[in-house]
Amino acid sequence: MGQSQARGDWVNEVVDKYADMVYRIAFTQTKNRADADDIFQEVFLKLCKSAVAFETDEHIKAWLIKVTVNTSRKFFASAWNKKTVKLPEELAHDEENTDVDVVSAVQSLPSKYRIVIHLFYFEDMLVADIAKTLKLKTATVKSQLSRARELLKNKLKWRI
Amino acid sequence: MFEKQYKNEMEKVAPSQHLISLTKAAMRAEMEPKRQRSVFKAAVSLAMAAAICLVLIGTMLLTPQADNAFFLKAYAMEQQSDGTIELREVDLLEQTSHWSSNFDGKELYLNIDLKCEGENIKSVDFYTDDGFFAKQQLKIIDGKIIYEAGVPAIGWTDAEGRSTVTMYGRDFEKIGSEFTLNENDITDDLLLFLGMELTTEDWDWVKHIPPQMAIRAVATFHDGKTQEETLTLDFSSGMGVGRGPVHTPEEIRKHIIEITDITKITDAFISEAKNQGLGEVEVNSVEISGEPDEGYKGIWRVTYDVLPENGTEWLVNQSCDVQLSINERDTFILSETNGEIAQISPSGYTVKILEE
Repeated sequence: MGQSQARGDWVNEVVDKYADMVYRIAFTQTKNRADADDIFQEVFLKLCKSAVAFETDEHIKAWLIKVTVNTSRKFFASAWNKKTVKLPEELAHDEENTDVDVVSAVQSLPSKYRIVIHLFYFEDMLVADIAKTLKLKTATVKSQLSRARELLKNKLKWRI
Repeated sequence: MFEKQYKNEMEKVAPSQHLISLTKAAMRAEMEPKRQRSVFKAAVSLAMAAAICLVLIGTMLLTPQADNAFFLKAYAMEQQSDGTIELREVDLLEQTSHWSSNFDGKELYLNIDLKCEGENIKSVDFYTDDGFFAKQQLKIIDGKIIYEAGVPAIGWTDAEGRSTVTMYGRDFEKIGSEFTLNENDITDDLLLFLGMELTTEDWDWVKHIPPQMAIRAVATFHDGKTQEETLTLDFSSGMGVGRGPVHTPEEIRKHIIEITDITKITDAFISEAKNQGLGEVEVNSVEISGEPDEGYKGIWRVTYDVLPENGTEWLVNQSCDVQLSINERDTFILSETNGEIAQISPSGYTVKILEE
């Protein structure tokens, strides 16, 4: 098999396998498709340029998650006015309406809460794995999940 | 109920086929073989060591002989006013260069990049009376440099986006005051350094470097003839832009700093800090666990790297010990410190821990 074809096969394999995951993480961080599109492409190009020798699929997955999160943050670095992420603004929805879109509710959370919620509830990752991937302490992830659930509970009026 | 509904809704969020196709095409184009010496992972440092980039490509400039040719040129990395770095050929007597270096309080290692270029060269012997030679060996697999977790690296990226590593880790293999390079010895995984003993606690350690250091080279050709030349490294005008504390806070803020890990190493709180040049740098990407309560106080070890744009230096897996503080805007601010709990780094900052 020629090297060019081997490269092409690898590209197809890795993008097909992780495209949805990367895109969804980018979307949770950016809250819009246009920015998620940009970040999606940037992350996979970074994968090409990476000097990391990936040993397992889990290794690649963790790397992609981390890089997507970081790339999303840098995307807003220039626009970020050197202030911490504040508590979410009130939803535009009627808060008595229990049919509030859950994705919107999650997206109203601070970015650090959004990513742990997404990785825990959508990617079904364990707290320890989330902590390892994002290079956080396990206690930090637990704290963020707990805080995020409280905020979501208030917004969704549901038991999470 | 939340989990199920969240999953159902997020399943609808997916990249378009058009985006996927474009991305795959871009990746294939990116992976086409390029004329690069090494694959890079670029980062720029928050650490204020004299991590200024120098790649000095030295070959021997000799009077050309009939069948033997041996050229010596110095290529200096020169930082432009806009912060980008250009490579230009310079006279050996007017080097305005940046030097990748590592100083641990006892020994200084400077990256040098000696090449044998020319015709009929069999080997080149290098000698120095001003220190010693040392080397590092990169780990390269399938043409890619393997970066091990936690190992710091220094490199540079030129204006065209070509990057190279100039230092990997802080372990150096001393060779001695003389060594020989055979024609097949120059490989992409070999980094050469000029080392010297330099014991000082002066934060401005650069001023203790000799104004000039010389490397003598003797080329041996296949026909048995030899020629000799001396390469002089001129530090009389300093080590390039950013001597001492390398960057101003404004220059640092130009770079995107990625914190990869931050761990508290002691609750000791520094009540007196003497920052010599850096001041406080706000790093937007820092997120500390929990609420900004008293738990932030203490000394934190920050591991970081930064991706600069083309034409700048970079560092990866660097670490520094910092004290955090927060202002009224709830922004965490890093003030780089060296405490008694950490090794004194050549960044020039000294701090005395007064409280436990």
